[in-house]
Amino acid sequence: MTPDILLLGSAFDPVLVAVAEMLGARSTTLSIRHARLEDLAAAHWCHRVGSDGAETEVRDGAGRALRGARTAVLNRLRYEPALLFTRMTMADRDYARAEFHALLMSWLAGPTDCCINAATASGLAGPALRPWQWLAAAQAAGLAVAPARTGSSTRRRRHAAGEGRLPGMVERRDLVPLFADPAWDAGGLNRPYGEAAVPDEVIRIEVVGGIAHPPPESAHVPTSLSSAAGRLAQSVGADILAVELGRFGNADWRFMAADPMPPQLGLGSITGIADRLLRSVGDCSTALEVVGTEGSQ
Amino acid sequence: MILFAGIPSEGPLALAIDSAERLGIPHLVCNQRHAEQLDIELQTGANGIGGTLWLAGAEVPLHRLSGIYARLVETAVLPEARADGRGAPDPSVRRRIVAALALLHELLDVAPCPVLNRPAAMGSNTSKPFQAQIIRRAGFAVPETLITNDPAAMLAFWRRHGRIIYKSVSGVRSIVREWSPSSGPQPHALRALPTQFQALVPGTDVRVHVVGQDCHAAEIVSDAIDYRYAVRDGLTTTMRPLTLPEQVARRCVALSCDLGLGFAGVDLRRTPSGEWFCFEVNPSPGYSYFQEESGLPISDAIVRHLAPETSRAAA
Repeated sequence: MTPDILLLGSAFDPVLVAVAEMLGARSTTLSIRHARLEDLAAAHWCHRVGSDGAETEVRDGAGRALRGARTAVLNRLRYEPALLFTRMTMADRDYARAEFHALLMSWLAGPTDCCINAATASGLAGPALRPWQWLAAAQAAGLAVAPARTGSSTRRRRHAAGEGRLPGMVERRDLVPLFADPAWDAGGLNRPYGEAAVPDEVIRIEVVGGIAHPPPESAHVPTSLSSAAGRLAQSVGADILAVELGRFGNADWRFMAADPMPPQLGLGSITGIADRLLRSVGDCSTALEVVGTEGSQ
Repeated sequence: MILFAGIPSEGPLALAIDSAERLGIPHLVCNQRHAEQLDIELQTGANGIGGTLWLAGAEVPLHRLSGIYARLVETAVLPEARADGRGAPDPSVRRRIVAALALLHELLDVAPCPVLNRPAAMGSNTSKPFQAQIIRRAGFAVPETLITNDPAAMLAFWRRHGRIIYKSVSGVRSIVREWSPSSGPQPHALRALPTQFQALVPGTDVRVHVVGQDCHAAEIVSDAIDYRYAVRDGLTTTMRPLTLPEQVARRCVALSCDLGLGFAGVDLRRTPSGEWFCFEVNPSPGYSYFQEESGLPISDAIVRHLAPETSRAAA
């Protein structure tokens, strides 16, 4: 039987687990399947792309279809290639991992009305931006951003901004690409740096399907912030986005960071995801994605 | 001022630098091989993201750059950045080179000026069928494609189309070859990994380089399935400039724009019946081969696209 809902990701993903529990509690007739990255690598694939669009037959080892034309998908896949093709030689393995990632990108590219977190050019499960890209995207979406800076050498930091770190700044290694490792500390005077201002208060607004879910304890947060968080999610094409904002003294709230694959989500967001999946079930008949009836091969 | 980043002797970058010099457009060259002389700072500000480059002693605020053309090679292959390479015996210097070049990548994605091309815009090319879906939506025909690990499905596809080719699914460069029972992977070998097959599309190859809103097209005449490797197979390739039908040119520009690419190499094939297929869009085209063979002024177009307003008219 082709599943109504397909959940993609780790079996230990708290968001997938919470959504599955909520779906199970709300409907006893739904067929829900879960597939991990390893399951997909071991599946039987026929992925077709042509002038009529894309269509896929993907079946597990027992011949059961994983996804049909009316299957709604929640995609929380993280591409962890170390899990895959482990019996190949090293050269073949690297090639196979790149090839399989490319296949998944195409399979998960759409249709977006049936797939939460469809693949994008930057990520297998929605947009995967780096911290400076998020800062640029937030500014473009109309959010003020928190003071932050990153440099390749601390000697330039002194040269550029007087003595050392700016007042109120703390180290933020995540702002330095590729450098969140012990090598950071071995760089002496010429090591790269990343720093950002420390807010007095931090809130997280979660956006699901364009609807913002501010934390319940943040009644004093202006509603315009929720709108701006929604705009940011829309501008980067994120179905799910956790937006972190900070307040500095009496100043306005400022964007600090965003995560399209937050490890945890609040109840409002989990409900929003479940609602959207339930709405999608049966609404995907116009989709390009089709699958043969079970056992047709 | 234009910033050129990469290895200055590499064909496409060298031609663009030559064009800037010839057209009198101010420019800077960031040589990746001298990355130990490079420093970068990025910072947030009220007016967007700003920053500074320090390049061989010169200090350049980011807002002074009118455009960037980048042809960065992977840091891991630079001799200066390799643990066993020459020129960087001090591990801390090597680490700093890696950090500076990583930050250069970051800068390319957030710089306020036009960048050919931003690394973030290059992702679609890591999956040919993913990109094919975008190409199809732009109005081009795309070849019938099957990616499978099912030998029976592959054989059925071959019987249906008569002549098929196989090539990589990902951005890993592969030589396009025709498949037949006597050449190419044997069907049983597919079980190890889904492989991409395409119906062979007969016709003439056309390579279009899109720079901003302009198209520079070359028609390629070759007996090879993959003209890039014609010499290897003892075959020949010739090129000549071509004026594209207006609708095809418009589609090429719109497609590049959809992909976020200010500069793109679009691989087309015109069939004998006049249909235009698009195979893929290269986000970092090595255009020098096409410029040298066809005489198209692609490097001049790149430089004009990135030049400051004041220099553009003069150029």
